[in-house]
Amino acid sequence: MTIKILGTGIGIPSRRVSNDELAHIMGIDTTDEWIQTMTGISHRNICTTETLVDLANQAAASALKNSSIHPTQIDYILGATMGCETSTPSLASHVADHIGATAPSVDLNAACVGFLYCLDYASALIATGRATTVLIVTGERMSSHVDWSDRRTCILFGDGAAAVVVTKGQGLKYINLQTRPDMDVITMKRKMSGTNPLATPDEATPIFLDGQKVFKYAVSLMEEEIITALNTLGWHADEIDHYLIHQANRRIIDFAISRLELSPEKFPMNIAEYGNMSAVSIPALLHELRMAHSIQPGQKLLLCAFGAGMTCGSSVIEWE
Amino acid sequence: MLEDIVEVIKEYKNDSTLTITPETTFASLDLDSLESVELVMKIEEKLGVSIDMNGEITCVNDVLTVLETAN
Repeated sequence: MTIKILGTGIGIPSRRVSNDELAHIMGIDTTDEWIQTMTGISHRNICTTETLVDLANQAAASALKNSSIHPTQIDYILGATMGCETSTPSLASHVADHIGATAPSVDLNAACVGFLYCLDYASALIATGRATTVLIVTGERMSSHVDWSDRRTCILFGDGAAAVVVTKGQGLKYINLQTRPDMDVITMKRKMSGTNPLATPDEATPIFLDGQKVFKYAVSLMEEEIITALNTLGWHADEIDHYLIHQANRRIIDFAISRLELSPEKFPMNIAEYGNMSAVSIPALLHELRMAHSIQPGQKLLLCAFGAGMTCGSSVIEWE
Repeated sequence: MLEDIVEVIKEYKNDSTLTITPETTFASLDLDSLESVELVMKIEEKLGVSIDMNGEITCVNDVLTVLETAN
């Protein structure tokens, strides 16, 4: 395949909220112990004065600097988000405006799998010669999507953005995306802002998750994706150096690891510090590993995510 | 089928002395909501079946009912 990752960056809101503080602020009936037991989350960062566009701009600028790439060298900007402050322009267009790029810019919405979808699109753009260098920006302001009085959901999420710059290379060894259509497991309805007098008014609903179904889907899909990826490449699980899994809930990852009989130390996690940041979680994890010099050339990474839809996917990258 | 489910539960709870009947609830086994799903998935693996989670599954009998309905 045709791409490698040149650089990474993140944008995280400054306001950090612990489980205890969250419970206190919202007056919800929960405890730090319960949240950590059920999810593995201890903190999350929440937008207060920042917008999602601010976070995405920060992540993009950081990734460009990290890649030593000038904005004029970017041929395409792909955004992954369920929506920023403006339905239009897109998050990707806001980023283009901020960094001073004139490349095409478009958002994709594949919920928590958004980063892998962007990686696939970037690979196709580069393979067909439509682009040489692509900026991928993921961003979610999950705090704006949850019902803060519902302890089942408001504890789960955090806000943030992460970006990567990809260019021609040989690093992407495998990518697979799929949808197992189930429209009721994770849902969120947006109220349209128009005033069409002929239509029934829309009703907005905050994000809803059927926790047990999400758990079962996530574990099953993660197992299937990992096994299929390894079988397709003819690789043994031990050949993978880092498994970067969507950080939805530590218990999903722990249970899948136990069923697959894999080594937990190969599954880095940051959910304790950030909560579930949807499409942002994998590139943010990738950025942290790079900054910690934990990824070396030649190492193999398996990325896997699952989300509303139910969308899911996996990718294998040999680091260049 | 009940015997297999009982075996899975005892193994999952790592307690061979448990008394399990169709009326045994997951709550009485001190399982939280996600542990209940883990148990269901272990039962699926043991029996080679798929257990639909659309209905509420809170006890052993719920599992048996889903499996009998599917058959």
